[in-house]
Amino acid sequence: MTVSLHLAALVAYSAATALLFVSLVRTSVRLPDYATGIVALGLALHLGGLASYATDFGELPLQGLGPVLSSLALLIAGGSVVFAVLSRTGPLGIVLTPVAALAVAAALLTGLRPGDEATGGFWFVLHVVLSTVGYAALTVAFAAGLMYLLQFRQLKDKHFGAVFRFFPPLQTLDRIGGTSLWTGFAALSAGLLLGATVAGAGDPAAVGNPHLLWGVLTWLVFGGALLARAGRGRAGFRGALASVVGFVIVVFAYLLLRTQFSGGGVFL
Amino acid sequence: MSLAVVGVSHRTAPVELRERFAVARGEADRAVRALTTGGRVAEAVLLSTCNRTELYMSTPDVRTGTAAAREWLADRVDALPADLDEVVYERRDRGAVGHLFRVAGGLDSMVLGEAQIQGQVREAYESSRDVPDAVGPALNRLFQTALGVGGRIRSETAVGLGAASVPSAAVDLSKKIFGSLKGRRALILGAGEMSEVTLECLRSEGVRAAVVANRTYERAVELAARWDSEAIRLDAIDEALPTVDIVISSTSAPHLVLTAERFHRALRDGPDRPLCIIDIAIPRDVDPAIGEETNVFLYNVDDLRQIVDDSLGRRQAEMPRAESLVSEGVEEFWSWYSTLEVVPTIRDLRLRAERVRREEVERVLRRLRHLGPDDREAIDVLTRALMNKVLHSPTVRMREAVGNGRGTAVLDTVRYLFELDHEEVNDED
Repeated sequence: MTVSLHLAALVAYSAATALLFVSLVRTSVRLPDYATGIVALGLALHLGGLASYATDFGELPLQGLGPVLSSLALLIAGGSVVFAVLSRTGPLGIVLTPVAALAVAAALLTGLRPGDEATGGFWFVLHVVLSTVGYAALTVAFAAGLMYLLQFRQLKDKHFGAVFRFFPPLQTLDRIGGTSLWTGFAALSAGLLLGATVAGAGDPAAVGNPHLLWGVLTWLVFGGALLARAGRGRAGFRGALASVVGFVIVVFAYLLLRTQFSGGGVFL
Repeated sequence: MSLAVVGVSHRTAPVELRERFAVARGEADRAVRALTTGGRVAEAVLLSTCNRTELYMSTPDVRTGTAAAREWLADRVDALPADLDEVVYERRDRGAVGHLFRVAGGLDSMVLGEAQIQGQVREAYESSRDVPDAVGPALNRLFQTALGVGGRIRSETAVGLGAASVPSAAVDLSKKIFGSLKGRRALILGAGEMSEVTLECLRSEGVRAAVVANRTYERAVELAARWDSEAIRLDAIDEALPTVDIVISSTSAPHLVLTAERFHRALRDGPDRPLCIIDIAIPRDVDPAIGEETNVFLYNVDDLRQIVDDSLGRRQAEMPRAESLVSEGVEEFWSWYSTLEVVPTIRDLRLRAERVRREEVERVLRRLRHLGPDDREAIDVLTRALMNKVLHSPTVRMREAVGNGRGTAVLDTVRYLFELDHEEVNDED
């Protein structure tokens, strides 16, 4: 049931992505709304899949690569729906929904089963939840940043084509990017502090822990993007660029750490 | 009863003639009253905008009804009805219904898909409803359906999307940078007609404050007063520039009004937030080099025209979808409207049956005087139930026959068989 519901959610996210790309090419009033509806359907199926996981394994999907990726995808898809409904920025889904679909696909490929790492009860759960929220927020900041850069270029170069029509306004993307960065930064900071507390602060062995390395790197990326947004001039542009570059760095760093530290059953 | 529309529009008459037909709101009520009191027109709605003057009517005789409308139109311009044959058009029944639906959806507008017409149709309908007996069941339903179809065309197709004029393209561009324009500040260079139209568009989008700068200060003051804005002299724009988000320039100056040097004097390090400059003047007012600045988005009239042409092309491409919504609406309305024809026959049939039932029940009860009130009531209920059951099927069949085009024959047969045309029916029955 867990896998079937995840597969169904993957199909829904993929269909919504296709519909959003059709909306980009064809001017349509209804298609983005239909896409949001399909993402919401996928979200419900996804939630059902995670509930089934929790029932099967008797724990929340917060341990192991597959479950964490699935939880992260749920937050990203949820963010896409929330933005579409609350601020009429459904087109943000054109970046967020495929990322959610990729994360679900990766979760299915790596296996939806708990990892072997030790857990620390409530504080451990809170640490993982906060960190996952941080990574989801970074994904949203990446989506908003990427769309900002593309829309900025269209407006500067006077290209009034599909991107100009379909993408949200610059200031809206800037506001979403800024809010996501601050939310993610706060969540990840708290998540890292909790993680350090749970793991035992000051443990010299923790210095080489890939979890910690990746977490600190992401925290630095957030800090860098927020710094880039500060000051005069092209603050929005700098913030958007930093969000995109930062996201890419975080993903590559993960892949690098995974090759270096694979095995051992940890989620990395 | 027939439905018809008689009128003139931008498709048939030039503006000089259209403006002579145009009717003010107070006058429209009088016109509708005059038309509906003669007996030739049963219901009427007068739609008068700058692009059309049209009379929608429900009439017992379409020939005399439309003739009355033509006479009224001819009176407006002191002409004979025959003199207006080339500019006055007429649509009847389904044609009239489809025409109104197209009008309400903006498909017959000068600028395809313009939204204002929907409000004007609503206003015309409501204004005619204020006239006693001017709007009955047919036009009530017709206009309500038209507003529904117009709404669907706007929400389900892209026929109203995108800018359709240079000022609205300017607003669209600004919104692509700022999102909502509510609370933004604008600087308008020039106090001509284009400046005013653009200022009107910006104010309607919620631009908080506008500053009007013009070489002739008095004209700037006049324009600013009309739009609750502030006026400044043209040489004072250096102080205004750092405080605004949008600059619209439309002066008739033969030279650059906003040079790069002046821009840098006003904003030494460049703007620290996005600044949208729209130069709709010819020759241009704004130095193109300013567009190279980091936070500056500079557009000229050709850029705006490109947006307008593109969106008009897209609107045109949506026409087939919009037309299919019109056809759907016409079918839906017509299937309801056709049933109006059957209502008098059904009413007469039921009245006749009820009269027969009542007479027979009274006759029987006179003979059965020993029955108590409960038994008398039971006989009344029984006969009423029998009558309803017997009439149910013919009622349904008559409605169906009207719906599939065999209405007249079936209704005539029913009236003949039950001698309904000889029936003296009134409400007391």
